[in-house]
Amino acid sequence: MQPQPTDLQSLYDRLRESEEKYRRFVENAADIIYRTDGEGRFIYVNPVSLKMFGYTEEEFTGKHYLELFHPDFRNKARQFYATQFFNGQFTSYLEFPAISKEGKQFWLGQNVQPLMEAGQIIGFQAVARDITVRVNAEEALRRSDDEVRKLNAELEHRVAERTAQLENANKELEAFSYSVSHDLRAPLLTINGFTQFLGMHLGDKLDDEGKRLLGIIRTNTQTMQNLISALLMLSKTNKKELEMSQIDMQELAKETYGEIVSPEAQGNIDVSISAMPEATGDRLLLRQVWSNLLSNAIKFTLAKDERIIIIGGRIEEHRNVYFVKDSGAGFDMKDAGKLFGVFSRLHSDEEFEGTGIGLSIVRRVIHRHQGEVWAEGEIGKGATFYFALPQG
Amino acid sequence: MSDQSVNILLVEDNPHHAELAMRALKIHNLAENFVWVKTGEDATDFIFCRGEFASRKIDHAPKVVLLDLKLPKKSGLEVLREIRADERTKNIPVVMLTTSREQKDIVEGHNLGLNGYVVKPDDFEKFAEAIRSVGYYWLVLNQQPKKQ
Repeated sequence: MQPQPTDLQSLYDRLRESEEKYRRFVENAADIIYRTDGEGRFIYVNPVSLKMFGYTEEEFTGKHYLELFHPDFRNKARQFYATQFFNGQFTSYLEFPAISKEGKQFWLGQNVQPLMEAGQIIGFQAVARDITVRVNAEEALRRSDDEVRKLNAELEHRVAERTAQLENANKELEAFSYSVSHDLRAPLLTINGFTQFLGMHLGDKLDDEGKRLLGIIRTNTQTMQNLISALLMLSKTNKKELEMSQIDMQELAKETYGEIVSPEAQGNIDVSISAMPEATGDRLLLRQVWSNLLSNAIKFTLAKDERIIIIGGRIEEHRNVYFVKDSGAGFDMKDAGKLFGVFSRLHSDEEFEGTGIGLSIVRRVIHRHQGEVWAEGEIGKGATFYFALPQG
Repeated sequence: MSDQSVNILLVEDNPHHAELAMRALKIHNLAENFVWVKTGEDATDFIFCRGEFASRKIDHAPKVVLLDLKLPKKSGLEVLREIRADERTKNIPVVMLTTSREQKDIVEGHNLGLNGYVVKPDDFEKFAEAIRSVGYYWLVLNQQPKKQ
């Protein structure tokens, strides 16, 4: 049945209305909408396209779509669309830098569909949107990432530089202690040698005052020798590589005590060395710790009538604690902080001799073992020195 | 003994240390035919009979060389290296005398065929004792291999 003219008229009207609706939709759209022929030449562009690219409709129509691409991007775009059509993909999405008539660059994200008729591609239609803001934001992000990477690289470089400086400083320190050991000892050997020789072989030519003066020189030379030896020991405890092993601390304490206390003096001191946990550490350096703590205890105990030294240890959570307790001169707890400093002494030389370095060596060694040192004491009643080592 | 024979060659730049060594040797009656030079150059000149020692005979080698490690210019280790590098002198006993306790010097000295290493003690009595035992060992006890 043929449609009646009135029906045709209404059909035509409806079609026109529908077309009008879509035209308005396309022409008022915020996105670029266009259509090309099979070769990619524009046959329709919506007003937004004209506005964004700055071409008149006459200029725009007939242009090849690649002319809108930034020249650097054209090859890439051509390959992209060739691949799409070769693979028979129905739609594609591509983001690319576009160039306006005035040469202004902006970014578009574009959806393209081929238009088919009887199995042939007769053209393309596309919707594109300005994505410049997003791309710029991404670019800014990438740049700040680059910046961060650059800063990191700079930081690493600076760390490497500082490390080199530190190594250099360590070498200088090593050279310094070498110089201390050799250059300071040499004149001391001479002073000591000649005064000793003078006393031994020409002593009968000196009167009592001469002998007394000689004695003062000898005592002070001795003090300086002790200082230099202690300083060297201190620098050695920093330099020495830790050689870790399992150590029977009770045995080591007994051994060290036997070495530093003469058999005669041992009779004068009531010492007890009780069982204590094993330690993981550098044997040589921990021996030095015992040696310094025990010498200290003995030094401050000998002056008293009651001479008791108790050496022991215990296991605590995550650490082993060792201690040397003496009944010696003790110290005021308000001075506890000064005990372990280099050259810091709580007694005058007349009271007790000392270099002021022994306990700082103890602290250095224990810190190098990731441990802690502390002390408790009371004037006239004795002192207890503790050190804790992590359980290995 | 001919007038060229030498018991001890002391190479020591510090005149006071040299005097102390000499006094220590004298106390123990070991200072006979004792020669002291101050530099590494003088030491090698003496041993290889060059320069002011050109009139010496190389086979009149000292019975022991007491060599300070730290010498200006030519070091003790260099002197030792030269002595060991020459067929005619490589068997001369050399004992290093030094205040240095540096492990690397000791190791290097031993690698070069050092016969002994005496760290100068801070104490003269100990020093005299060390000198005495070195002198006694090399002058009295040690028999040099007979020359061909």
